[in-house]
Amino acid sequence: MATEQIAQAQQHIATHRALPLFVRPRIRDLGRALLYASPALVIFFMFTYFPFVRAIYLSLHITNPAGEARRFVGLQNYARILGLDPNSTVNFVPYIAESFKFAVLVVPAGIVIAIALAMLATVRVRGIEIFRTIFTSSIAISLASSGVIWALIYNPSTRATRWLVDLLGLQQPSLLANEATALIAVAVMSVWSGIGFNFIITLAGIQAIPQDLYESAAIDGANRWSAFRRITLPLLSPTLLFLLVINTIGSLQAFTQFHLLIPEKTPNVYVYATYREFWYNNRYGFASAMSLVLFVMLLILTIVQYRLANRRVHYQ
Amino acid sequence: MINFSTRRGWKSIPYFGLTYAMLIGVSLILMFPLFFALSLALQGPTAAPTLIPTNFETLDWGVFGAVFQQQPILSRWIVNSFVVASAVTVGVVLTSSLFAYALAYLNFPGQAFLLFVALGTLMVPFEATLISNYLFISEVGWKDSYQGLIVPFLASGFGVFLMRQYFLTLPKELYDAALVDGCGRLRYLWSILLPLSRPALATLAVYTFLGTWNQFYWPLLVTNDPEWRTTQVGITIFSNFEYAVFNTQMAATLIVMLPTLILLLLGQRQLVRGLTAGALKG
Amino acid sequence: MKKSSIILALVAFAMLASTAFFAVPTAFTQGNPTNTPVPTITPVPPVAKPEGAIEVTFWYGLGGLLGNVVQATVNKYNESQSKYYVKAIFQASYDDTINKINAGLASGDLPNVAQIFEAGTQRMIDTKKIIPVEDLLARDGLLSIIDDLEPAVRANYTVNGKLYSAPFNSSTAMLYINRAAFREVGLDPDKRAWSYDELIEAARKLTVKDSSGKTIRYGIALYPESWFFEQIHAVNDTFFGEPNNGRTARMEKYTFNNPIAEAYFEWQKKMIDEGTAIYFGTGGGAAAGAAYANGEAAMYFSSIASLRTLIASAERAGKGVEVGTVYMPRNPDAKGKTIVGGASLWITNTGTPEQQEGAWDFVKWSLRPEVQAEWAVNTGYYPVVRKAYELDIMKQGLERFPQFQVAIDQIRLAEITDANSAHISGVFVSMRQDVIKALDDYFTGKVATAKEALDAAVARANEKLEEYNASVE
Repeated sequence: MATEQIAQAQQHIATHRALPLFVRPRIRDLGRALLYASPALVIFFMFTYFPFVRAIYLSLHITNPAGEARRFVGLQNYARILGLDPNSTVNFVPYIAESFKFAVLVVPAGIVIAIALAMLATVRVRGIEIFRTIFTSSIAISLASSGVIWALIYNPSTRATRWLVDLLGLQQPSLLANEATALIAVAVMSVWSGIGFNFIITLAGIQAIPQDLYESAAIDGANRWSAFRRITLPLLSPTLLFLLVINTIGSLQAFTQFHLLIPEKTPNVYVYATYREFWYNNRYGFASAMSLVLFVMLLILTIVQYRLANRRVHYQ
Repeated sequence: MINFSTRRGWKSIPYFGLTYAMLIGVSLILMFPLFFALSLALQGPTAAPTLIPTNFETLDWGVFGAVFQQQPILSRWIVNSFVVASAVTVGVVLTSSLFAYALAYLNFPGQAFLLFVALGTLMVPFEATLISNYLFISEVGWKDSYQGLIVPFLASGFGVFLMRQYFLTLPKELYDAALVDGCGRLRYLWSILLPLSRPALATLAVYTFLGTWNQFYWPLLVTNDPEWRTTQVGITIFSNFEYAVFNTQMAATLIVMLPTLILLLLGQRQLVRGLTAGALKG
Repeated sequence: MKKSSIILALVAFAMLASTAFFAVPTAFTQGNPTNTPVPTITPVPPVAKPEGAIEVTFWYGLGGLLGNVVQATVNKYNESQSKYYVKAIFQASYDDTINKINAGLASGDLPNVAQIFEAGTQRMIDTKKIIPVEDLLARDGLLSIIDDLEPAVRANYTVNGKLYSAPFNSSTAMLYINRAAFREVGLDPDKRAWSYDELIEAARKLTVKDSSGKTIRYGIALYPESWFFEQIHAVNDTFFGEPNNGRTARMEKYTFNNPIAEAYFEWQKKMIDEGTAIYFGTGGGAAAGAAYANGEAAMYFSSIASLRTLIASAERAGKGVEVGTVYMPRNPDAKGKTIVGGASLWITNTGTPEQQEGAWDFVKWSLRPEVQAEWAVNTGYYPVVRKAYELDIMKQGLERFPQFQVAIDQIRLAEITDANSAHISGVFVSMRQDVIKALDDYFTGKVATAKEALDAAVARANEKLEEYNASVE
């Protein structure tokens, strides 16, 4: 077998000089690889990379309602978004702040609830599988469906939350219409929607912790709480970091719930403001700049989160 | 699993009682919105529904059928979602497997670069490309069509990653032996590798179908004609009517939720596996 | 697979299957505790397309009940002749319709005729893909129809002296009052013109508190909406933007930070501060309407097109609210009239010449008095041609709903000038958002004075207007 291959190789070298033995099949495989990868590559280029570049191009221009770039304005759109243009009244920093406010409301609560639920779900009782499935179920419920249901929960006509409005002495009959409670109300709905995903990940993380660690701790006289603090949490930290990053990115990109529950609010969250600029005002160049600002923000945030948290994360 | 009771010798009955109470209580709280939706769906076309139906005898179970008569387009929305989600799922599975196959089994220069190209798509948030994609779809006239809903999603960086990781766990000797026996590379993929990769394929399929069925933002932009809308956008349109009649909207929402709930029940294990694949490795 | 999962899956399947079982026999109105008949919103099906008919696409943006009347009207046209077939496609909203048009500019995917709201006029002209209606009327020797159009309506769609689109559904703004409440406190419900001061007084009388001090009825329900703000300018013959509201040349800048605007802002704030007005915040139009129909507020601004809906809601609420209409607030020195809202039909130059002809045929037909009369009677919009008022069906409609006559008279209160016609601009929609923000900021106390709020809004709107004008030159 080997001698045949060597003979073949020598033949190839003779005809295609200067190409060492091991490169030839590699280049042939390159062709093959590109062929196999081509369907996916075409989609990636057409719908991710090329549009990204086009977005950058559009963001540097003023565009007409048909989406064509009309006048080059350099970084003017960016300056305006960040409130850095003295000639402009526009400033989207309050919207960015609103998005971060939302993230702060949603992310910690979601993770804490997930941990609590996962701890509860590790109890060995009969039928625990059914409960686990119930806890997971919100994964299958789309944001649109949740949004529609929660919109009615918050609607004064169904009187499901009227008692809370009266308790808090709010001016408007709906939690979604009062400035003070609108964002929180949407956050509650978002946390609910995300429980399934967070729960599953956390449960898997807990289940990966070796049982003997707990047994040794119990022998050493540790109670449940200190076992949780000294064993569970530290060993769960890679999972929690993952959840932190995913949930933060997700909450900063939230759109559906805002479109369904509080479209009229100003300042609204940044992604919704981008949608308004592009869909209702047809300012494609400006909105492209907005979306690229978001991209940079998310990138920086992810890197920072990983760097900062990595110091505290324990790997086995 | 944490199991302290045997170590501590606590009395089992009150412990179990408390645990069940907590489990049931939490479940009820979590499922409240679904109960709410069901309750509103069953109370008939009233503008002032109550949280719990006052009269259990007059529950309108017919609303689930009536909503199809009242809004026959609901069936079309369900069909649209099915077609789109199925097509995308098949597409993603095929393109990801092919790409991952190349990455895992072929040896060529620029391997790392190609992997990065696939994973890079995960880094670019969809908002950054949304506007350009929307303009492109408008320009080629793919609005209000299946192509517009399907084609942009036919490949997935996550899918490539998942399949590649899985392929790498399979023994290479199988591949080498097959090649020696004269098996074509593509035939190997189709007849041997993919059948062996069923768990990963199932995960990817469940995850992709779920995600595509639940899409909202993109179908919202790309469809306008009610005939072409998908279930998610469709149910939100129900509420735009002048009279606040809640029961049909809730009934439609529940109906639209059923396929994904069923999928979750049947594919839960695969889904968990897939989601945790990224999480635990950090 | 776990057993419990299978059980749950089977339960879910059973539920799904049972919907099919119930789909066939059961009635729709089972289990309606209040027993009040609820109007159905079952969509009106389109009639079938006859063989060989030329298909004309028509995009419209009215939904719900009104959308049904649109489809019914289209059906009538299709049944009246068999040469053309109009395919009506609902576009979810006015905003969506114009967005689709913009998107369609690049792909050439435009309808032959589209219903575009009044705020879209400048944008439609700028697409350069429309055929002005006046050109077609002149070609067919039908310019006399223009003379018969309701003047205010005609003025709305006339730019640079030319009628660009055919008015289809036109409405105006009214102040709705609860006639029963007015009589109760000794106010005259038939008085039409109320000044700001008179309304402040009226709101004080109409506000009712219970023994614990909680307000059970407010004088007026307020919410931030730009349209009423635009109306006030027209009522006071004040330009909204220059030059000439954009009617003689492209609009260069907004000027709605003027004393008339400030007075309007301050009047409402005064009532909110006094506790005689309840303010519903952004997006609070529906809640305000519900409060009005429930008798929780005795006055509220809305369009005359909502008349039938409000009457039905008031009946259903059963709180004895008698729906009446009066003019938009006019101080004694106000000499203008209100402007029309609604939408018009635009014909595009896409498609084959036959399709363009078909589009024009449909539009011409929609301007017929009998068509307009039936449309008006079934909706609450004006008939756009004055001959419609001579028809019996219209006369009967006015007898049944005298509130409508107030609306008709309101748009005839003055001769047409550019100042009391609506303005047109390319950034109408975003300008409205700026005005709403100004109203809300001022009413909620985020901004101290009306002038500040208005100046900020004008600056924001002008910035966008400049950008738009730069992009279409």
